[in-house]
Amino acid sequence: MAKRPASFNKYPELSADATQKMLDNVFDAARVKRNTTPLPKLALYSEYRRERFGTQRRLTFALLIVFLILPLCFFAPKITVEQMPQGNDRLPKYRISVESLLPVHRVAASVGDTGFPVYESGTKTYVVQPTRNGDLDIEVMLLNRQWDIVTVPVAGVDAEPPHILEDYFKGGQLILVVADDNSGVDFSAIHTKDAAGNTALPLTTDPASGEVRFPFPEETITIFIPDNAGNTLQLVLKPVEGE
Amino acid sequence: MQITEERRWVLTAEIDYTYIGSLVDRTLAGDSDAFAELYAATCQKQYLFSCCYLKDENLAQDALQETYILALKNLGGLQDGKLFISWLNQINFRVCYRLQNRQQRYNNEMRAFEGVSETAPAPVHDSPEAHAIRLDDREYILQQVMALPPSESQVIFLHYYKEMKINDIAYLMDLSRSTVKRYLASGKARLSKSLSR
Repeated sequence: MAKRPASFNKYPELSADATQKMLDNVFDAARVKRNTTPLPKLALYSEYRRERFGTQRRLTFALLIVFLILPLCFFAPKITVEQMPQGNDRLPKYRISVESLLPVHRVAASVGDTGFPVYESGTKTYVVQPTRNGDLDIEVMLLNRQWDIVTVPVAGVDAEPPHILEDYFKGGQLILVVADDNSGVDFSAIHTKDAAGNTALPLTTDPASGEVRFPFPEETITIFIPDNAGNTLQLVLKPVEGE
Repeated sequence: MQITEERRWVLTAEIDYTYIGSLVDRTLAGDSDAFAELYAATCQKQYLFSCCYLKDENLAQDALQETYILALKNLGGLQDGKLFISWLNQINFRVCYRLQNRQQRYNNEMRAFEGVSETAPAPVHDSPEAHAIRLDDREYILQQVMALPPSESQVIFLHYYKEMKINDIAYLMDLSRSTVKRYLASGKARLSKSLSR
């Protein structure tokens, strides 16, 4: 709406009387019969028309915007996944490329219930490094909440469990030196379980040397040594009489 | 809604040019109320334009009346009724220009009659010949401005001769600020071309 600029305040508007008088003069000078509907009424109608027209224009504009935006609400992302060359960690890497006009809201990757971190490597390009074999589900959600899932079979992840390099008893403790050439030993998940199902953690772990110390068991226990790819070495330790 | 005589008419919303065109058609068919509606919808802004141009409310009322008389008499010559408002702006502009010239001539004659110099005294460093040439140049430039397409000449005249702001011109002429700027730029370009000839 055009607002009268303040610089015009020095000029007051014409009064209704003066306006009508001038219009009468105009009609008389042009030898045309005068208006029959009072001028104030015509002015009101004119204003009403303008306001209604303004509202129509604004409404049309709003509808136009809605129609332009509406299709965007249903755009789904197009996902392309390609395997990248393996790095030193020997884990497979996947590049996820998203094609969409709209910004990406979320990218998630998981095998079963295990999720993996996804890193942004460029504009709408992401990298994921799964540490488990299985079907890798990659889910991409756009800002409009439209999403798509692509599933990629992952088989190149380390499938071998850790192995024992050395084992011995010393000072009433069982000492194991473990290693995993591929994904590495998951030292934080090493534990033991007895026949009753009670679990216990090792006394110490040293990821640098691979040394893990357990208390000497009085009964049969199972030692679980997992690696970072989900493979687990299970050792059953059974005390033998006479030792 | 109660209608009172104290009602003021201000242009506060967008103009429905199609409706304006239909009012022109009805006026041409002999409907006085249609012309009265055109008048009601435009007179306050036209009056404001005249006031800004002439700097005199009484003279502005004369200009306003003359503008609408000319409009009513010549409405048949308007090709497209939707252009009524810009056509009216042009009439008002010409009427104000003529009225001001007439007023100026009258003032000059009165001054001459009273023994006062016709024009302001020239600066000391300006010779009478140089002063005359300068006045001729001003007159020539003004003629060139008035020879521009109507919208451009109005915008240039109001901005440079009447020192009106772009906002004010846009409001008076029912144009957007960007349109006023565009008219200014194209008018100046055209003017510099015609002056360099």
